[in-house]
Parts: sequence; structure tokens; C-alpha cells
Amino acid sequence: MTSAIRAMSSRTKMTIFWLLFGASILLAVFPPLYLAGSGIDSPILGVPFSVAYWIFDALLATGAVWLLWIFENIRGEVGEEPEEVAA
Amino acid sequence: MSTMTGSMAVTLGMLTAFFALIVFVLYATNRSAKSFSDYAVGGRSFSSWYIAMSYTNSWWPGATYTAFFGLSVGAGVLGFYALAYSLLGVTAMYLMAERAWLWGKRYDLKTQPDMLGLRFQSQAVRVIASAIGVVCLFPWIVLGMQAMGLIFRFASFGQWSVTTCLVVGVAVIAVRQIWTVQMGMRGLVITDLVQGIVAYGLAALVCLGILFGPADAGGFTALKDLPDSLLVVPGDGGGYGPWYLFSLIVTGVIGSLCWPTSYQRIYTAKGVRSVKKGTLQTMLVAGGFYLMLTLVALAAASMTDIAGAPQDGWFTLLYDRGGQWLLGMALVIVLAASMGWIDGCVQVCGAQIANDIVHVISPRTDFQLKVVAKGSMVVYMLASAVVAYIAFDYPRLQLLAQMSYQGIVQLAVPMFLGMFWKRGTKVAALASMCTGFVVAAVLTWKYPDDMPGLGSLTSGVLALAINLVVYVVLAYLLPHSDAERRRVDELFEAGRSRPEPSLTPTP
Repeated sequence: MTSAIRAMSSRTKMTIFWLLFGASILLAVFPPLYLAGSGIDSPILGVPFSVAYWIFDALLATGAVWLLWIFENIRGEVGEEPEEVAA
Repeated sequence: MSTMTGSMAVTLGMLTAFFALIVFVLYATNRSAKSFSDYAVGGRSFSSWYIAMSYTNSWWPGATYTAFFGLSVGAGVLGFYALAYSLLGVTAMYLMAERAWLWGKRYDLKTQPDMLGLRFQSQAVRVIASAIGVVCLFPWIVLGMQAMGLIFRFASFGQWSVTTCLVVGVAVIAVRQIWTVQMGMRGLVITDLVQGIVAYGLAALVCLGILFGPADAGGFTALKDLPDSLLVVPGDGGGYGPWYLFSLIVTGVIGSLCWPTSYQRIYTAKGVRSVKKGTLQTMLVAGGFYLMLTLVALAAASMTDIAGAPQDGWFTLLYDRGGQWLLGMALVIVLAASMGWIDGCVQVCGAQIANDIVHVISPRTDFQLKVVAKGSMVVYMLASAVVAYIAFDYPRLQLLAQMSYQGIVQLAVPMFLGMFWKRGTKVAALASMCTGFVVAAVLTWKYPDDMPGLGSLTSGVLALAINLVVYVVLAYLLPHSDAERRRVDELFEAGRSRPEPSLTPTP
């Protein structure tokens, strides 16, 4: 897995990130989606679907950034300041 | 409120003890600032947890426990819009971390307008961006000071008059600024960590205790029985159109890094890694805390006394759960959030006035800049304290605060496009910012909430679209000179995190 992450192109890495992060953006700002998630009381893990919708959106956004952080760490791309690299 | 009874010695004692702890931490960690850079950005020395707590402090004001709690109680899942925009917005810090921090380090940038001035090689851009930031923050500081009055209304169990509560609240925050002014960013970031642990860490634990503790109402199980009215978002019936929620979230996402307080946190970090890791930690702290708070507000929405006064719900609920001691803890939590937030605002305004307005008009030495920054903070804070007192019941102040939000996002186009698109010019930046701000101000005055004819789009979003068009059109109509294009190319190259040629070992 680690070697696959190292081998993937930068474009693939950012595509994976933007697919996940873009989905969380769409869930939050695209009216047909958030209106479709509105007013539904079917329970998901003890909370109504309409509440779970926003929790899922938050988890998706956090997960996308977290995954990017993990990828960049494995690929050595986090981006230290030059002074630290030189040291 | 009228049903609360208890000893002021307990509530005021807890507030005093927390205040004393903050002052102790300030003195224990005090180091005199060697330069203005040290004073304004803490010597670019802070690790990720400091960045996360400092960002969270500059993001969630004390009003989170009153206005936002009340919003969730009254409007249900709409309260989650703040969770969405906060998490989506803070991600921008991760994406721009490398270029923003490296430019900050290599060109000794101290503020957000400093960066804009560098990018567009324009002092006018720098001054206008600074002025927009300082002006837009002012009503929020006034509202923050007024929220301090609410703390003392509850701390006195309603026995003090509104005037007394406001005067004491403003006085407490004013006294706190003595150390903010004296110690600059270093003291602020260190106390942000302590305040953040109390304001968000402790609050999240309290919320978990309420949700999963032995409660007959307001616990997690109450969530499954929420009334339908709390499950619908604006636009799904009701008076708002489908674009209202879109506008709220877009404004929040874009505004999250336009606020000078948020952007300056990047410069206090000791490196790109600290900014990126701090972003993740911010998402966990700010998102986790707010999620818990919103779930508690939803679960408690059916309690009669909370439904009757939603904005007092946080205090009412904790008093209901644990009497005067838990009420005291609720007050300390709100005090911690309020102090951290107002400190951040006052500090960054002082830095921007000195660095990006006074210094541009009349260049100053480092020592003089520190004096100007400190003087500006005192004047700014006193002015907001006076306005907070005079305008305590002035309903239009809330309108000004709303307008300021629509106004601050107008910095976004030159800031974000300036960082990621080489073609933007100073003429485009100046014209787009000014056009956007004026259009937003005029439209917000006419339509303070939404524009019904446009599906409930808000004025700030429409102004932002016009702002974007002006920027892009002018960037193409009046392109860079060759010299400016080369300068921008070099600037973008300097924003890459790979080792510079001079630092790379030669074989």
C-alpha cells in the first residue's frame, strides 16, 4: 500500500482528494442534495437521517484532508521549510 | 433565568480563578519581543497544537454558546451549516499552507494585507485590504464585548442590572487587553492553548456527559424524537428560497480565511508542516466541539425553559444539570471563548493598523511599529468598549455585523486567485475588492438577510460574483508588463517548498 501511494502520480493523489472533498462540498452547497436530505426522520445510528446527513458531510471533509495528509507524509511532500531540510 | 438561584461567590469566584490562571500563564511564559515581527507573529515559532487552538479561538466566539446554540434550538439542523462551512473553509489553510508560509518567512510578512501587497506589488492594495479587515472586525468586537455582559447577568443570577453587567463585562475584557497589548502574539497564542482547552475541550466533555450521562431529557435518546420542524433546512418550504443555505455556507467557507485573525495564524507557525498538521487538528477540535454542542442543543430543544429562551440555553441546561457549580463552569467556558476571540481580533487589528496602514503611509522603525500597534490596540479596544455600551440595545448593530461578513469575503478574490493564478494584476485586485465591497454594502443595507427575487441568494455572494468578474476581465484587458510577469514568476517559485538551490548539497 505504501509503495502504491509513493508510486502514484501527483495528479492521481489530488484527484482522490478532490473526489472526496468535492463530494463534501456538493453535499453542503448544492441545493438539490441538501434539500433531498431535509426533513427525513428515519434513524441512522440513533439520529434522524437529516442530522446524520450533516455529520456524514463533516466526516467526509475531515477524512479527505486526513487522507491527503497521510499520502503527503508517505510521499515526503508535506513541505518543510528549507531551513529544516538543510539542517 | 428567574428560576436560577445560587451564590455569586461560586460563579464569580470561578470566573476570577480562571482569569487569574490566564494572567499567571502569561507571566510564566513571558518573553520580551525582540522585533516587530516577533511581536506580530510570535517569531514564527509555534507547533501545530498551538496553531490549531489559536485558529479555533479566532473562529468560535463566545456567541457560539449563545447565538449559535440558540439557532440550533430554534431552527434545528440549520445549526449544522456552521459545522460545514468551518470544516470546508479551514481546509483552505491546508491547501495554501506551503505558499503562504514560505512567502511569510522569506519576505517577513506579518499580516494578510502584507501578503496582498507583496503579491500585487501595491501599497494601495495593502492599505485597502487592511482597512476592510479592520472595519469589518469592529462590529464583531462590539458584539463580543456585549456578550461579556451576558456572562455577568448569569453570574449574578439576574441580580445585577443590565448596565452593571455590561460595564463589568467590558471592564474584564478591557483589563485582559493590558496583557494582549503588552505581550503581542506570543502571549496570545500561548493563552489560546489554555483557553482553547477550557472553551472547546472541556465544553466537548460536558456535552458528551449531557448526551450520554444519566439524563431524562436532553440526552442522546432525545435526538431520535426530534420534531419535523427541526429537521428541515431553509428552502425546504418556509419563507426562504433554495439558495439561502448555499449562500450561508459559501459565505462562511470563503470568509473563513478572509478574516485577518484566521490568516495570521499561518505566519505564527514554525513551518509548513505545523500549518498542515494544525489544520487537521483544527478540524478535530473545532469540528468535534461544535458537533457535540449542536447535538446537545438539538436534544435539549424540547425542554420548555430552553425553547422559551434559546439563546440562554447553554446556561439554562448546565444549571439544570448541575446547579450553580455547573453554571459556573458554563460561564468559565464562555469567558474562555470570548477572551480568546476578542484578544485575537484586537491583536490583529493593531498589527494591521501599524504594519499595513501607518507603516505604508510613513515608514517606521521596529520599535516605533510596536508602539503604534500597541497604541492602536488601546484606541481600537476603547472605541469598541464605548460603542458596546452606547449601542447595547441598538438592533442595527447586528445588521452591521452581517454586513461586515458580506464585506470581508470580498478580499477572497485577490487573495485566493492572487495566490494560485499568476495573471491577476494590482489594478484588477483594487477594482475587484472595491467594487465587491461597495456592492455588498449597498445590497446588504437594502437586503440585510436574503434577496427573495434571486432564490434567497445573499448580497455578499452576488457581490462576490461581480468581484470575480471584475478581477478576471481586468486581468485580461490590462495584463502585466514583462517586468511584472517575471517578478510574479519568481514569487511563485519562491513559494515552493523544495529546497532552494543554494541549500541543496552539491556533489
